[in-house]
Amino acid sequence: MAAASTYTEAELVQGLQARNEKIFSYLYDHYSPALYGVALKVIADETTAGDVLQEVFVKIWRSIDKYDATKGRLFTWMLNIARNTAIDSLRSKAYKLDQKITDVDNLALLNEPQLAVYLQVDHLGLSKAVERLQKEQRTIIDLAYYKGCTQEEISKALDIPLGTVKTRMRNAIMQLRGLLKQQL
Amino acid sequence: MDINHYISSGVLESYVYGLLPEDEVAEVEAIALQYPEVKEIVEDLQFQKEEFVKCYAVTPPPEIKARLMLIIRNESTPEGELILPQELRLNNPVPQSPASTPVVKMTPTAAKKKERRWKFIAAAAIIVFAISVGVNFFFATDTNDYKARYEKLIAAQKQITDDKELESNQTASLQESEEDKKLIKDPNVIWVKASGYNTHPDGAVTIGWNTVSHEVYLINWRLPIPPEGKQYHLRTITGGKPADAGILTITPASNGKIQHLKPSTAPQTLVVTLEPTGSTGAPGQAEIYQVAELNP
Repeated sequence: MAAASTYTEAELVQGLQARNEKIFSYLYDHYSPALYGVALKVIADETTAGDVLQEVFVKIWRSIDKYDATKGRLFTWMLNIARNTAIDSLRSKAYKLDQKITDVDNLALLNEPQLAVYLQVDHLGLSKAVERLQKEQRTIIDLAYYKGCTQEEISKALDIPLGTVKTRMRNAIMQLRGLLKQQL
Repeated sequence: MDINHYISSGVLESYVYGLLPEDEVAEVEAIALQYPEVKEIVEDLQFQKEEFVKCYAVTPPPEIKARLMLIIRNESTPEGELILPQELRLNNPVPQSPASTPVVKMTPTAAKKKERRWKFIAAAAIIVFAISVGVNFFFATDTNDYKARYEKLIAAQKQITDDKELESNQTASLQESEEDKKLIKDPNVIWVKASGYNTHPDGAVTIGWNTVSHEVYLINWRLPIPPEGKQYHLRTITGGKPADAGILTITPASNGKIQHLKPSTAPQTLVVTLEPTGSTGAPGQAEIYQVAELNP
């Protein structure tokens, strides 16, 4: 997606700061699927995820001056906004922890190839690679990254010791990293 | 610091996946600035995480983009502010839900087309209205039937005129004085969209209260021009006691602009009433048009 850009990140940031609608529109077209995907993974409800996506882009538009290029790329920043907004929305809905677990289990279905109709073609290989992560490792990444659970919460929810959560988490991320590297 | 040990501790992975508490986040960011090799690994991890996230990309429904473009186009107008979720408004906090706010959605080119269409509709309505008056004259004996039709047409025509006025008011509101524009974004001013009351069901005004200077403001969008011998009053109600907050200026030119009214120390409810000119606010004389609840 970003690879097909005709604007550099610096141009995008400048455009947003200059309140350029065209740049905003371009930004939306190129990044909204990834950010909407994050919101959907977190919330698993299309209406709420849509509201979150709208909020995320208004935040991007309103707080572009707070973006600090030394801390990471624009997409990284936007992704953080999307994840945090979605998790806040999830918390405000007072989802119970067991609901989060069910959501994660349901999300596993989305990884079935026949259901994953929306996957970007250039990422099909990659998602296959992610599927190779063991289910327990993927569950841990999903709970932590997409549900905003703390390590203590995961330990309680999955009934495993805190130390095991930490090592499993690290292994999961390391393994994911290895899989992603093979693909890229 | 043994930087290799730090790198292999897993803290960078946890940082990139958002699992660290805030103080540790700041620490990682400080170290990344200091050690280029750490920064490089963090960027690498971020890039990989982004690729992972893109696996789950889904195209969002198209109406979200349309809504967003409308929001950013109107973000500095009061009506635009009201489209936004409460926590994103510049003059946070606003105590009333924006859900019931009627919003005229249009793009500049659509506006022109719409204006032309309105002209046709207005002309058509006037012709139909004139015919109806004539018919009404001929069939004066059939008053019941024709009276109802006549009233319906008056109402329809009024709606068209009102809508047209609202449209031009929104353009007018863009040309407010700089000082008034600042009030819209002033965090000390609470803006509330009033609701209609009884036989006047539509919200027609936005009311503001300055929590510091206690000034009361009102923006009229579509209150009808008061009939001869009557005028609109704004009254505040605090602890059940009503107080006069001043008389509203309702002319086509004043619509969409901020009117400054009498200050009030802690208004709870604000009511717009239509009363005979020179009224003392005695019960029975006032007809309530608009109500706004203020809960600072």
